[in-house]
Amino acid sequence: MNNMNRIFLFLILGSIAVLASGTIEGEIVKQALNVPAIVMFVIFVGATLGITYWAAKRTKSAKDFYTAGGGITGFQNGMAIAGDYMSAASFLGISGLVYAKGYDGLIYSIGFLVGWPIILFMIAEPLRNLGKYTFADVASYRLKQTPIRTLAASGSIATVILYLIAQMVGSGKLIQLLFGLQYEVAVILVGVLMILYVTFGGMLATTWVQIIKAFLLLSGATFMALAVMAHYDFSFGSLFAQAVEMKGLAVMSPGGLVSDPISAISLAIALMFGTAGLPHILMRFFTVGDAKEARKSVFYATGFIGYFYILTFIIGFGAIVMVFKNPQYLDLAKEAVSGGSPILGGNNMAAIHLSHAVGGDFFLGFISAVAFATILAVVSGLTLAGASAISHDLYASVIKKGKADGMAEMRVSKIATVILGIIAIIMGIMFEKQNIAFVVGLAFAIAASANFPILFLSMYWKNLTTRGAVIGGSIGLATAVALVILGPIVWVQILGNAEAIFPYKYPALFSVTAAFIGIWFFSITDKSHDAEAEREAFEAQYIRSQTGIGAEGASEH
Amino acid sequence: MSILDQRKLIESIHPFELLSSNELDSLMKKIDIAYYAKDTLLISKNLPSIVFYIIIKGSVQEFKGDEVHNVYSFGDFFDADALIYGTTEGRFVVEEELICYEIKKEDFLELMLNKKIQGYFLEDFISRHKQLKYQDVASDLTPFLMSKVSEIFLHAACVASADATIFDALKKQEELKANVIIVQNQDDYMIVTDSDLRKKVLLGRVSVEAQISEIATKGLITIDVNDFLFNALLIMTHNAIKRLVVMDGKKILGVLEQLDLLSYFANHSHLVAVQIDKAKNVDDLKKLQGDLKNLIVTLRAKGVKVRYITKLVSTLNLKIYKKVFDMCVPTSLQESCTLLVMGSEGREEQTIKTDQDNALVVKDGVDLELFVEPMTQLNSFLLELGFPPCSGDVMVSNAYWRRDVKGFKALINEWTGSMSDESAQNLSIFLDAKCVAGNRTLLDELKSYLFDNFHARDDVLAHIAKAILNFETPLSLFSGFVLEKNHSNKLDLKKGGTFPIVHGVRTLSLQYGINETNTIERIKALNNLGVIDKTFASELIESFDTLSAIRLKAMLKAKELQESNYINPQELSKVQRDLLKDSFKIINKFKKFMSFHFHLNMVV
Amino acid sequence: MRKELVDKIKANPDYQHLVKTRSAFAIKLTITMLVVYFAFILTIAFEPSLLGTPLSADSVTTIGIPIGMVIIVFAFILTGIYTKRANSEFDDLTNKIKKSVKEN
Repeated sequence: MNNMNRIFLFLILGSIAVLASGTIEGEIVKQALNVPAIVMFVIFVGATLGITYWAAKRTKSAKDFYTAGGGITGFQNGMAIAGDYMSAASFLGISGLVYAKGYDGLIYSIGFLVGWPIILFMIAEPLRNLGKYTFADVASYRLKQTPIRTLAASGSIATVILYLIAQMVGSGKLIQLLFGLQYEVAVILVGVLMILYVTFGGMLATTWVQIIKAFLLLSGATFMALAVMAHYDFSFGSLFAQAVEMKGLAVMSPGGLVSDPISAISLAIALMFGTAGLPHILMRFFTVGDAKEARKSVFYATGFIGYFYILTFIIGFGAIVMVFKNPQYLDLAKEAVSGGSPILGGNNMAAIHLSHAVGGDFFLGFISAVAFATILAVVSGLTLAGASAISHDLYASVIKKGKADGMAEMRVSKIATVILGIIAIIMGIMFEKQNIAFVVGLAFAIAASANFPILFLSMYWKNLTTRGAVIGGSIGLATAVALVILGPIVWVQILGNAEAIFPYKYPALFSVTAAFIGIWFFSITDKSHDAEAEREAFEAQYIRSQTGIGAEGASEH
Repeated sequence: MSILDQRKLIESIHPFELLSSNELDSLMKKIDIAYYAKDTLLISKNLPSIVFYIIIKGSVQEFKGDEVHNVYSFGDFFDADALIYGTTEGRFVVEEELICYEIKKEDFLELMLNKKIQGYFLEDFISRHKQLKYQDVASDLTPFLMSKVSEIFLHAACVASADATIFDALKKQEELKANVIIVQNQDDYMIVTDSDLRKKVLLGRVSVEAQISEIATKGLITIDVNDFLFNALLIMTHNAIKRLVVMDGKKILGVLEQLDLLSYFANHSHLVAVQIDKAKNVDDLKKLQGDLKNLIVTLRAKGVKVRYITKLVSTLNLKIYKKVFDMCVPTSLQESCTLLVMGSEGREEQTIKTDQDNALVVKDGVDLELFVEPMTQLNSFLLELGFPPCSGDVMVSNAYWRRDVKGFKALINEWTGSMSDESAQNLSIFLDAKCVAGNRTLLDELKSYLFDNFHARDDVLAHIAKAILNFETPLSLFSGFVLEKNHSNKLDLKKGGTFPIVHGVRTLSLQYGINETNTIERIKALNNLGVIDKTFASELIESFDTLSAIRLKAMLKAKELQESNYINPQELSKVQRDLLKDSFKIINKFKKFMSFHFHLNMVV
Repeated sequence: MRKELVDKIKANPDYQHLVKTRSAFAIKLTITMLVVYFAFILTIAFEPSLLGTPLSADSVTTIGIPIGMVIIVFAFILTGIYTKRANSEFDDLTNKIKKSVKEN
């Protein structure tokens, strides 16, 4: 598998080289090519992949048959969780949001973060005790396999696709900016690379890879934040004062982003409960050997993620003072048309420009490379989760009724990876103009509406039945997806209609409520014989979820 | 190089040995020898292949794109595909100056008309694999038939001088327990068999005081000690006799009995088994150790599949275990406990004595203290019999592995509860447990408890399974072997090959509650359950067989039959190297499957 | 389904104690987090100017910024509190239950 990593390294370096040479010839391209930055980018992407290769290899030099690397500690796993979570959305999106809207960016950061304590208090413990690591496995624990898995897979796939779009936009913009390519070309290129990375890599989302990437990203972000602060003698006061001077007082207080109460609450619900419904996050609770370390890892992860968000806040403000109105980063062509001093590549690229402002071409190359490598790692985890939902839950469990052999399942998973990649490319092009933190918000809204209610209730509510879960969950998913499409972003900005049918950007308040009510209603009115059996099975499941003691016996054998 | 040598070389390369003598002769006429300097481009997309190359000296690299795809050296050939399909993606460049045979394209294609040759170049993996293996074994048979008379057991010869009385000669024969009397008359030898005595002394009334030469038959048939056993068999068959006198020059060494010869060829496992049963003490058992080794060598040479050899040897070892158990544990206690063998013994996959891995389960309510002494004794007996002690102390003398049913259940709980490496290791050892003596229901109870406990524990299963990724498969991107520099450029068959299969299959068996302990049986069971498909199951079994065979062969070659997992691929034949490479590819496929199945990318 | 085992565990006083205290504790912490977060969100929704109040007359820094930072740190501290108690008290209880259930 490491061989594949090496192939991939060649591949990526090769295609970058082709790209670079291609663009040098293409004189029509808008901006001048930043060759030193590109060189640094290539070197760092290579080095990052090299380091992860080395790390993966190192853990394989075990002398004994069963002891790999002495086990992952809670601290390391916390870092890996953070690595999964600190995607392009967090870094590019939130800093871009802070850059554009100031204080409002913080609302997102806090929302993303507070999901973690909730997961620790309510979800992690039972999940680990049940010994199941996908949402579909937990939900189908005592409910009927076929309908539940169909629903769970749909929810997971919808979430994965939206989340993928965000990563796609982020990396597409990054490549566009760095290589001066057309956005569409950049997205297709990135999409193809991602598909290759996942299908050939397979193992690249390993814990060590995530640890290293999280470390690099945190170091880079720390350096940027320190450089910004050093510029202002480590005084927040002077940094903010300067920002206000550039963009006005509005950046210092909540404003336009979530103007009405409904949107605010809706966003809050999505961010808070969405994390627990993300298909690729839950698995990490199982990386460490015991429950103690698992809890610690959530604790450390919360710390790392919180620290990282504070950094992105500073970086966003740093971008306001150092990038905004800096002619070097202005998109002059665009300014001529629409005015308002837009920056090259859009607001999502604020952090990238800032890295150039504080550290020159060298650092720009480094940050771009780290961001790109992070995106690849996050995407591989996401795509694998999505592909596994398709191959395991839909294909093997539903279509083949559990009769599929493992190799066939693997083949389906590979095909699913390619399909997901293609969808991500198309949608990535459609969502070009959107802030990626916002798109992630949508992914969270779907996760919170379709996945979270079933996950939560299946663990805590005795009366949940298959009928309730399926109907209520479908209502949640359908509402969420429909409201996203009918809302102002997709309906107006992407599809070009004049007015949104659903006036709010975020559907979570409505869709999550609808899901809970639907599940509740269709469960309690379910008087079938099966429903009784499912209710009776709850006690055993609950005991196991609380203590880890399996009391359900091996009746399935 | 003489024509004869050339022919030999070609013949030694698979699949050319499949050609008949005539075909080979006509092929030899068409072969040219060529020389190419370093860096010569031999074949590429734009330089179509016109000849088939067989390397005598030097090496050639095949590039695909910018990467080395394969390296060819002595005995290797290329590129059939380029000739058959008329085009190739690869570029073949001389790496070290090359001396090679060339077979012209049309000659090669003509050769391809031969079904066997064609089959080799066109066939898919499995069937090619099987064919190669058959061929491999056949070539092993030859050295066996070529073994010398000196290697076999000879009976003492009773030599009487021609003027000795019949009575004295018979007395001497009785002392030496010889079957025949050889009568020496200066340089001439004669023989007196039991039937001579019967016919001439008893029925012919020759006095026992008469000279022995009177009843001896002339024309003694002998064989030289340096002659082949195969010849001995021929002589006996030809002359319809049951024994040969073995000579070293003019000296009589002993008598070779047909029975011994046949049993040397035959699988005399039955004999060993009976002897184990008859053994009264440890010393008796000790004497059998040599037989066991011979048995392996013989069976292997006879072309018996390694999996059957290992099974047989395991069965015999288990018999020894049982015997020792009977010797150590008082009869009154035997039904209150069960002796388990674990690890490779439990899987019935040991070819030689590997470390002792054993445990004792005692019925609940029976005093464990009663077993301390018998078990310590059992361990020391096994030690005397050449079963090396377990380095991890997985032995009945260790209280950790000597518990009552309750104690083992607590242990299983501990394993299920933690995902530590140590738990995974102990659990893996225990999973292979097989009952050898005592009350086997105790193990059954524990096994079902174990499966119950692991029911739906995807998380713990993944942590157990992850060990298969601890070592890289020693196969490089370019399908070359990755050798370990600090192990004198050898590769570890166990780490790279057998362990991933054994452990992966074991974990799957735990998941699906499969009771078998033998890896191949487990694979079959997994196939029956639909976990893996038929093709993949047979590929896995073939790979496992190949690895075991190569390992066994290497160990036999190393003379002292020690557990050694390291082999030097350079010492393997080309055929074996190909087999090994194919097996490693299957193992990589299996690892991918396991990673997918257990979501290992998330737990590693 | 092994009904006896379920009943036995349910009747176990340690189990009842564990479920009661841990649930209460987890719910308490969850509610604390929710209250803090929603107080913040609702302020943004209904009274955004409150967070826009400058820290002092001559400063542009608003009170909303330290409040945001404090919420982040607060979330971290809450996970710490839970981890500490769960890793000692609750784990000990769980082990005790496992022992008593499995060994009889």
